[in-house]
Amino acid sequence: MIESLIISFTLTLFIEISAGAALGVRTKRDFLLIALVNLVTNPLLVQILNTLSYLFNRRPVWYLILILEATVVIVEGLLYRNRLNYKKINPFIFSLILNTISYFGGSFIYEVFTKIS
Amino acid sequence: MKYLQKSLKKLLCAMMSSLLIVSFSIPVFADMWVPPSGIYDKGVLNQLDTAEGRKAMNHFLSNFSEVNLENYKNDGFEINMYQLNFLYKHFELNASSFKDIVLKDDGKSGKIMKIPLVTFEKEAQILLGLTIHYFNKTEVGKGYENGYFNVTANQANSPKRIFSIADKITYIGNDFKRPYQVEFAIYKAESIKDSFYSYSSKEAANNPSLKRIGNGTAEFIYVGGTGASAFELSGYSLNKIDRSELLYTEENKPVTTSGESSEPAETATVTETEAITKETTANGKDVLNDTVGQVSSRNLIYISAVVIIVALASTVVIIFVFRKKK
Repeated sequence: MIESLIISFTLTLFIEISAGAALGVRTKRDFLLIALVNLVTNPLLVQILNTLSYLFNRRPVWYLILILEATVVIVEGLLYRNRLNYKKINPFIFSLILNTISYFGGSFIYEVFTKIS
Repeated sequence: MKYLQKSLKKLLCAMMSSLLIVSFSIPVFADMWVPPSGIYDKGVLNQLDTAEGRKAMNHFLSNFSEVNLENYKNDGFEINMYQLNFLYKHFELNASSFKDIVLKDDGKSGKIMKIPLVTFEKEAQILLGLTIHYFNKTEVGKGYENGYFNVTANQANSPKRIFSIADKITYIGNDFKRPYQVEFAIYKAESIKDSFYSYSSKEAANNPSLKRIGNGTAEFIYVGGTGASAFELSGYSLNKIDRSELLYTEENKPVTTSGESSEPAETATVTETEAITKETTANGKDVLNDTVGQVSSRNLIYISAVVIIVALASTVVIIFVFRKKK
């Protein structure tokens, strides 16, 4: 379980920092903020899925993941709106882009990794 | 003071958002996974009313009788040695149905079965509802190497001769993890014909070529769809079985390979008892018995607590340290 938390967080961090840089984030402060915001949402999200999977003995279905990811986008958007100095994109759109890229990118990398290993 | 009030408000908002995530997800899960009896009850019970439905249920149950499974309780969410052994035997008996399973000689008189990880995890999901990322190959997957499980398969491609026929399905919806219970009989035949899976218990009793060797009950979850994959096993127990009729008692032993030579490793076999019980001594006083392969609910609570503390600490840092530049 700890393994899934660490892998998920590391992958998300790597992808979102890279995506942030691609979108024009330049300051150390903003990169650190992105990392901290992900430390708030990512382990919580993964642990909720782990807990529910444990309780219900089932793999989460796609619409549950969608609801949880949407909540994450909103929470991150709120934090970015109030704390991010980066102004090029609306903070909620920024959050949506980062989370979309990290979700699909992370899933892809995980699939590739498990097939290789 | 004003700033402090504002910050506390934001902290409260962040905490409420976290709570919202948790509270939102639990009823959503419950709605999805507690089958409304009016719909699902009818759907599953109707399985016995058609030949196709019976076939799916009997096929599903036969997956477990074919490996001589005697009892099973899915009370963990990581795969353990018992489940692993069950799956090995299932692959062995159905090797011809899996095109990506490779059978090769072990250099002596036996055979080694190479099962791809992807195939293994897919079947674990279909039959037992175990999810891919909860499979921890480092702890229980002895014989795992380079994306394959390597196990002995001395009886590979044996004809299946034991199968189950459902008698009665009952909705036991009070416990949403095991909403259905099925009573079944186990039969033995000289050879299995596909048509047997469509049999009702009455047809089986009237067929002189079939011999009833036992009966039992199983709990399952209806996950939707058609065919045997519409169900997942959550519990299984035999009430009565003629042990002399059991055919496949030899365990599949994990082997480690190196390169192309595939010599069975001397100490590759891990019994269930050895695999699940580990003793560690702390300061010469305390002895902890830790169940390996199954995450206890206590661990889950500890990890959840740490995750919540980390999330709250990060929120505090974001709110108090990361003030926006004017």
